[in-house]
Amino acid sequence: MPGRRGGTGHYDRLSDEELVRLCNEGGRESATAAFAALYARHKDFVVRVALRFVPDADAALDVLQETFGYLLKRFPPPGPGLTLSAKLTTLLYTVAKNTAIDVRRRTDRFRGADAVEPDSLPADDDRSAAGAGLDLHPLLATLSEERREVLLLRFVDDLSLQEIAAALGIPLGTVKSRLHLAVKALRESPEAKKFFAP
Amino acid sequence: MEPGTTPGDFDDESLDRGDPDGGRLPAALVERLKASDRALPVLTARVDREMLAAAERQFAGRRAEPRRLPVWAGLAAALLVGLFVARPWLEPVQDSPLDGNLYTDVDGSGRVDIADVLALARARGATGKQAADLDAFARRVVALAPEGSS
Repeated sequence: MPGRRGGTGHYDRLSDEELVRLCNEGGRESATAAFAALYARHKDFVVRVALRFVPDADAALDVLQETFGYLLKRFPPPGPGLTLSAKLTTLLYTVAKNTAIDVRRRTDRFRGADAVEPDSLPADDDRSAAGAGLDLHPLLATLSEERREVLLLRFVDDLSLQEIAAALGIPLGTVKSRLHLAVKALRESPEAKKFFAP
Repeated sequence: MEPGTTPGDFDDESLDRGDPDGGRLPAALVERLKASDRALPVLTARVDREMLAAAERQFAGRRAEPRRLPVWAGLAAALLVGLFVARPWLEPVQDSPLDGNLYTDVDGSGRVDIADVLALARARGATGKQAADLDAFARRVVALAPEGSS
């Protein structure tokens, strides 16, 4: 993008905390470049999270835009500034999830738009076709949304147990128990049994 | 704590020791999970442009930052300044017209005269400052002539 002093590589090497500091306090060019680097670094994560709650790519793009739009407005002006008390991904997860649920209600593409089914997974034709042959969604759909959520955060997004607890705003013990039960359910399911050693 | 669990089911050791029931999954299943979760490609180019434009608008009111020269340009500038400052010491030392060695019997005729000036000029291919020196030499010879032996 124009005006990125030092090139994209300079900002790509900075940590999330340093980029957030530049967004809070930096000059015109460095703040813009730092935000661009944050966006490039985390947009795939936000899209991935969105697709767990919304039915299609268009809705996921809405979630992506609203999530980073929310983040951008946190920086001055007009925002008060952003202080990270945990990893940025935990904040992004919370915002993306809530935005996705909101988008899902708005688009009214699921049965009962006013009453989102907690155990329902997006399962549109696009996703099923793209994941043909390796789609584990039917298996994941057997899990409760809470357990599936923890399972995906741990094994797909590679968040630590503490980070999951921060992202979901729940105690660490609850994260552990949900993860334990999710793994146990997979182990006992006929579809996933072959992956576990006898 | 979730219904159906006991504290021992999910303590830290249990979750970390590789026991599938304790909180780990086989690598093959994890790979399938990741592949399945990324099965739907999403083209984000439109949102990419809009987000970057939004960032530029939001931060447009902040102070502009002075452009910094690349490191190589700074080093080159410092080198040029250094050369300029050191120039008087780097130039070759030239004989002064007042140097006694210049006013000598160049052609070995036994006396210092205008022929020596011309011989020195030929020997040095005199131009510029050297020519001025030789002019001074010539004026000195001419000035000395009435007092000379000739």
